Amino acid sequence: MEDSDEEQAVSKLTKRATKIQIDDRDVNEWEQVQSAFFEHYNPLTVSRFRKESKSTTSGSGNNPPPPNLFSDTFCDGTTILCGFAGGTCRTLDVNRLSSEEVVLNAQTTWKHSGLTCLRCSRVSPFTFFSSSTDGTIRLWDVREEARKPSQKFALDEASEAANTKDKPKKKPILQFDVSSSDQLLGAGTELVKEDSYLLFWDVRSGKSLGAYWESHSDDVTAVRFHPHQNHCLATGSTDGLLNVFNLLETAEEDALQYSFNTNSSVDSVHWSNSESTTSSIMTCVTHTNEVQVWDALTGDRIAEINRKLLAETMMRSNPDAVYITSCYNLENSAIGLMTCSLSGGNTRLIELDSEMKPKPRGLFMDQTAVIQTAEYLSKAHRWATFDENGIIKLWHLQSPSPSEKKQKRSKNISSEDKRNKRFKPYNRD
Amino acid sequence: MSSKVSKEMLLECVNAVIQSSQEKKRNFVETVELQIGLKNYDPQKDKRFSGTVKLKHIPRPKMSVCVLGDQQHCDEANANSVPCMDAEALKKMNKNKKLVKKLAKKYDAFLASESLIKQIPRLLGPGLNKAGKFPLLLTHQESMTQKIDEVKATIKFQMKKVLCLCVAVGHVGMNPEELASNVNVSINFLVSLLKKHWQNVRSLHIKSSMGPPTTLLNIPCFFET
Repeated sequence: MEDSDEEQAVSKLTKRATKIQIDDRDVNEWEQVQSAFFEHYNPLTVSRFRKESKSTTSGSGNNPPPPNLFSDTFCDGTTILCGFAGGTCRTLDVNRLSSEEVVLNAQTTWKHSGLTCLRCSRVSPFTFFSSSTDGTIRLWDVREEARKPSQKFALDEASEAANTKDKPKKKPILQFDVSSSDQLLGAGTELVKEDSYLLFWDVRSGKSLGAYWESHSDDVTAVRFHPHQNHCLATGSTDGLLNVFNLLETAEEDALQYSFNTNSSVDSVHWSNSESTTSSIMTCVTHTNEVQVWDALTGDRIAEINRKLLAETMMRSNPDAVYITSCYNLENSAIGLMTCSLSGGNTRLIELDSEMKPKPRGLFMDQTAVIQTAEYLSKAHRWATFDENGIIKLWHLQSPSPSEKKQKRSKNISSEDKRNKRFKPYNRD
Repeated sequence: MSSKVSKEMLLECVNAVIQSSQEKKRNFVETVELQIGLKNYDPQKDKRFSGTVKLKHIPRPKMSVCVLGDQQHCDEANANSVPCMDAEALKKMNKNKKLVKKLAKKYDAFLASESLIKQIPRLLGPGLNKAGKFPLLLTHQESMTQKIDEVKATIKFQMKKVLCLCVAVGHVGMNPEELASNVNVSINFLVSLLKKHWQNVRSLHIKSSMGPPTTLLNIPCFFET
């Protein structure tokens, strides 16, 4: 079939037509944005992932890394675990990060095909867990040379086969969490036929502790243990419900404490990490890029922040371009939201104040790609971000210019500290 | 939000769908659905999600809503001939799974007063959760009839493991402008839900339950880079 001039012209037109960008821009002057977002983050190190495949048939071109979808930080606060949709994951020591590329090959990565979620151990800086669509969770030790899982958590196949007439169906795990002090594993699955499950395991023995399957009617997409109370679990699903369980109760119907109807679809849920062990504030980010804050003790919805309000706080024009990367616990029990514009970058940090009202807080300078996942390294007061172009950036706070010090800021003590801190140049090992 | 589907095109397609349904009359009122084909999206690897949007015109008029209310709400419900149940009636069910299941089947959606909604897991157990019909919050600050209409006008988009999506946006008994408006709102909402907005949309079709699909938009993959 010849490629006539006409056909070429048509194809050029349609190519141009399909590249329609999302229309979104700053509403205010850049100086105003800079002063409203008083924390300015600049990249300390910029690196990128490089995937090395075994076969050399691909020749000159490097395969771009598959989208990095998730990450977690080890309890030492400096090593990050990043997982890719293809099933590989690798660790990253931020102290050793340089502008050299971060290589992904068989020697540097662990493989769990169908990888859906990663969680670092709460007690050891050397172990982590991974879950997959194969319905299992695996425990890995980074010191292990053989790159094989130390432990595998799966459903008890024998008892399952005895209970059901036909072959037990695989239950793909979408997200899971490990409780404080690494005692329990709780995992949420996809909808399988008519049930979506919450599976539980005891970490030390590896035994399956049972499952819940009555509290959600669709894929379970968020699972989070309370940071201090390991019997308290929050789960969220695409059915819009946020469930809170007290695992000390044996039966599911007694364990279910609250069901919060977000009337949307839950993307992630985060417990506030306040000093008090009875902190019960849960922040939920929905798939429609909105935020709801609930109190798991009183059962009240404390705040509902829609895309329009977020766009106003971000000082951007298009609410439909608002994208929330995730929710983070900042200093002094503050809740931070990392937001981007879907038109490309413009990453900004929004803080929820004591009344849960969104306020501008930080700017990530010159970030032009949407950030897939990010880690907040609270000890070092740095951010590590992984964006859609496979670029890794380690951010630090630049000391603000004198004109910004004049700006009246809220009585937040931490922001005062930041302004007065002097940052030393980064020392490499 | 500028739509890639022009108003004229939309009206033309809507009229075509209504017309084809009238040519072959069925014994029921056909639903009109919007079918979306997606691209640049990997359902296996990308996150699953869903979303709800309120349409201007009620797509399913026969939808039944029950109010689980406190005294004030139950009085209001009875005054407006809205089915309702109070805390006592719920307690009588004694967390009996069969009764709760029956209740869930009887109505399409539930609304509950603030004081009652927190007690649902204690009073009824997870039966309503399982049925996907957990009640929505009904406050005293809003009008009950308005909230019910809102619930009836809300549709849900569910991203499954495949590249196409289907949602009911109306029925053939509606007039073309209303149907077109519903379709427009749905499309704009869905696009705002997608990460790459219009770049994730490959095709749009509308059809009635038994009728043929009418193309609203079709971007052939052949031209994609």
